[in-house]
Amino acid sequence: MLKIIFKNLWNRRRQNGWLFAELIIVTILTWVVIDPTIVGISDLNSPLGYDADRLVKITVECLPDGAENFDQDRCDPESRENDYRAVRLKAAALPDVEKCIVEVQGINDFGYMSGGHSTGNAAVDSVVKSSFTVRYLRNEPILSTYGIRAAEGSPSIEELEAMPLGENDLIITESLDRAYWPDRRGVKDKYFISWNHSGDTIHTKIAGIVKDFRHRSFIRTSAVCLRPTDLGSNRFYNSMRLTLRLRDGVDAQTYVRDNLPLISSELGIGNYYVKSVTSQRDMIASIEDMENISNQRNLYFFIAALFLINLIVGVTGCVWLQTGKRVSELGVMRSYGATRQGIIALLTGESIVLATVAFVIGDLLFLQYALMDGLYIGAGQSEDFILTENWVSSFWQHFAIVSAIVYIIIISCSIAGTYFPARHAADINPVDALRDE
Amino acid sequence: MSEIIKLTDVSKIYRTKTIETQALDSVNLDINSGEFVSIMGPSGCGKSTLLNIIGLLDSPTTGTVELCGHPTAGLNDKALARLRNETLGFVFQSFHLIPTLSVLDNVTVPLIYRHGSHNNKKLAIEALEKVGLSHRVNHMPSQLSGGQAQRVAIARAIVGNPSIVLADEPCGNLDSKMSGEIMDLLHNLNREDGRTIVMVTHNESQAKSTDRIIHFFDGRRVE
Amino acid sequence: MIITHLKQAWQLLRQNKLFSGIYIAGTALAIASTTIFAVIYYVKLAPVYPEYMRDRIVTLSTLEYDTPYGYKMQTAAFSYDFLNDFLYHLENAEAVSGYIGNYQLKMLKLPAAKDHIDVVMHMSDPSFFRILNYDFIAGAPFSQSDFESGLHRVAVSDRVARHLFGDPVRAVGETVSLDFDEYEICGVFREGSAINSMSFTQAVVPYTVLPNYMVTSSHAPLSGAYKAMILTDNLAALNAEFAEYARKYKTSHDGQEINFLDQPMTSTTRALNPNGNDDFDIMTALRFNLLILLTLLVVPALNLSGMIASRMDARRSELSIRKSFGATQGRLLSQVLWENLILTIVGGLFGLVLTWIVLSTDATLTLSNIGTNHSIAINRALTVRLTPDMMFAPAMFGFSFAVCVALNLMSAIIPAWIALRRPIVKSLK
Repeated sequence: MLKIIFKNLWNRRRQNGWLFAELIIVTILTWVVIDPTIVGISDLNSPLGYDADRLVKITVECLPDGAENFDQDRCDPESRENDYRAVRLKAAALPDVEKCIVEVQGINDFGYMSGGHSTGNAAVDSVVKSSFTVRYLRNEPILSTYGIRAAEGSPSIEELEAMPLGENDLIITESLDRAYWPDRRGVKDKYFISWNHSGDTIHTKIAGIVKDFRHRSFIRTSAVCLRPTDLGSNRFYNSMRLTLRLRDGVDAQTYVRDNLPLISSELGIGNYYVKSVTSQRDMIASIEDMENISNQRNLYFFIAALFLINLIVGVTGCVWLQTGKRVSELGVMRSYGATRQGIIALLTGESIVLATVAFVIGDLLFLQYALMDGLYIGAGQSEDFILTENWVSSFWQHFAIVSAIVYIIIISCSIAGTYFPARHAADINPVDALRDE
Repeated sequence: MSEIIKLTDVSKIYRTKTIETQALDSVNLDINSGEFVSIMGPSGCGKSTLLNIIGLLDSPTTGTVELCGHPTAGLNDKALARLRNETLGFVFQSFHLIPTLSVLDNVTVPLIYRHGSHNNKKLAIEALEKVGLSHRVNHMPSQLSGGQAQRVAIARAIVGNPSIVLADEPCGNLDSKMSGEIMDLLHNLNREDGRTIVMVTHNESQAKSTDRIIHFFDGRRVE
Repeated sequence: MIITHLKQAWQLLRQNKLFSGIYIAGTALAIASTTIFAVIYYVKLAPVYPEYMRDRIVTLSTLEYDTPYGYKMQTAAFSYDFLNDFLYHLENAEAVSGYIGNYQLKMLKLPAAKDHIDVVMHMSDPSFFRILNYDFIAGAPFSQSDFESGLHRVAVSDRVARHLFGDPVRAVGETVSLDFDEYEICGVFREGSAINSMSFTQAVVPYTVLPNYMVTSSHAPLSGAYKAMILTDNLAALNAEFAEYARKYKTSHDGQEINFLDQPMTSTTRALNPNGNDDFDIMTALRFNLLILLTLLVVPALNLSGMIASRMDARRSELSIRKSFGATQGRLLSQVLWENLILTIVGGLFGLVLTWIVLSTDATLTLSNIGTNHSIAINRALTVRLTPDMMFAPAMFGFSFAVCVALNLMSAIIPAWIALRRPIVKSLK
């Protein structure tokens, strides 16, 4: 059978050449658009490393001077600070709230949209690794609220949150710890060294090490430093971001829907009003929107779909037209004992072989490009920050996995395009096929 | 001698939206094993339909067909395909060689559809030797003359060692010299290998050289 | 002779329904995909409402400069001082508009109402409406004196006005609350498409309503919240003015440098590189997009070539008979091309319809990313729609037709030529 397939294909190379060329090009194009999509989906769906399910984010802002309900008596710094504290207390007292924190830059929230995560390079014995810095308000229990877990050898989360940590006490993630100190666990005698403007050496103590987590939903696990900070000037009082951890068994989205009026009225204290209430999951989704992750992915899907529909139409057209001319051949085969399935299998087999050969060539061509330029590593990611290995960063594994997926797609489209004309051809009555003109 | 082909009350009606055509009308036919039978009659008398029904390529509207003592009614596509493959060999007026396959590969076709067939190449070469074309195994159909093409088609018909060979005007597209060669070949297959041959023909002298002539007119047997 | 060809082509089309169907479907897909690309490009690059003067509008937002404290600073928007001291006095600018906010969502409601809608708001100056040709359905933009005295005046889009008052004309003079701040509606303009990130707005207020709109930080004297649109006829002279400013700034500021990062930016650059990355290379961006456009054409063309090659085989005897009666190869080739052109044009019409269907759905948001080097973030609260003048631009019909012809030539010539070159005898055998 296979031999017949090869011979048929070879002898029809003039007609199949176009389809073959198309298959090669579509293989390469599928690679180009599918690779980012697969990496993106894999990045979005890998574990976040913290518990995002029962988190609610609330943004509270101050009314502008002159607004209809603006209270002139409550706009001095002291009243503001009092109201600010009152909002916080009220938030903690909302129903089903287990924990409540005020944030500067939350994990995967709008904070990083406005403030931006700083990227720092701290040296240990002249080794420099890149990491993201997330600043959090001193004494706020950010770790337990987000459900971040302590790494082996580090003080526990409870211990860390009980410690009086200052500007120069860092909590770092496990992959960063392992990159600097590959064979030493724990926090004993671990420091980053940096220099300030005047050239003084600054020692930053590693106070704790936590399990890796992803501070942005669409990038892979990167090195992160958590740095405590103080609520410096009163400019923070103009707006505050609160994160609530709900009790076990409470669904954040339902909670937001059901309690929106309550939250708005409870936290509307003085000149503060509730600007937005959203679950962490919804916030992640809207940040993916704003970062254009979802759009970009949809565009890739759109382009991929176009090429693949084209491919199916092309295969269908070619196979249909070719089988139209091969009726007598197929009739002979039927008269010599080929079953309907046999005919379908022959034609499908031809398509599969053609697509496979084209795929191998297209795949090898793409490999040449990939060896020069590398494979897609992820949206807005820099390899510098990623200290953990996974299939995306391991070239051959990455290439093999995506190749397999591309192959499945190409073959599926080929089969889809062949099936109907092949069935049609198998249904032709051999008597008609063999009628002598 | 046993009956290898037995048709009982076979009728065939073709229907289109507007017309109904009766191609065969209550045909009874018995052909014994080892017989060389020719079927004659004017164009459109139902000869080819009869051959197609014997060849299990078409099914009768009413009536029964038995091949080698097996009734064929109600067999599914797979069983029919198997029966065709094992008991029948076809020769067509316009050869119907597969243009993209070499002579050898064309002859091998029936063997691909046979389960557990080995030595396909050897069997194909043997069949080609029998028709005197073993020196042309690697030619393509387009490189053959008409007589050669029909000999390849005959080799293809016998390669699977079927007991029945059905030939639909095998010499219809050939000149008289080549026709003679083909007829000699068919007679050899009948005499030496004991194959039953059913041949549709227009040619009186070719028909006369066979064991029995069955005349058809307007879908009926006429004596 | 062409009429005869066309008649025969029509017959062929009707006789080979299957071939024609698949061929037309393939063509429609190709035309639709390329036309969608073209529409998006058109919307981004050609003069469309309200950016009719697009080829004369340049923009400035990002700055890089040395601070008095010795480090470099990059800012996404600049200070009022920079706008007021330098940009408003540009000699080679016909108009300069400073504004705050791209895709800034504000809560808009009637003063007493509980429910609000999110609107995209710009804070700007009267020049905003001189540079962008917004059509006013009722009322007028806020005036220069409104602006100077910081009056709470707002120009809203017709969609917003209809939502709040039902009738745009009735809206003028009414009061609305924007993020709890009250404004009087001074005019209603026709809303543009959200696909134009710079000009799309639903509410425009004078930036002078901000109590501290002039305040500039002493730590970062050039950083602020402002961006600018500049209308100019002489970009070269304008650039020279910017260079001169940078030179003077350095001398008067102790050697501190200011870098405009390849700005002012033309609309073309802005459309293809919305993030304003300074390592942006227009050729690279175009090459990538042209490559996609080309493959969007090449893939279907290969499809059609394959089908034509197969069909030429089926028609070999017909063509051979024509040849044996004296038709030249050139004549047969032109016959085949004309026949295919009919099919291609029918496919093209279907493709255009498909384009309009796709572009009138929410997919437009996704598709607006076509052709950009970096993605534009469009808030999901917005519905991105194209306006009729974008969808039915005459240029689009021309483009689609040109693509049809190109596709036809690309796909038909080679297989037809190969088939026609074969000797008659072989074909007739």
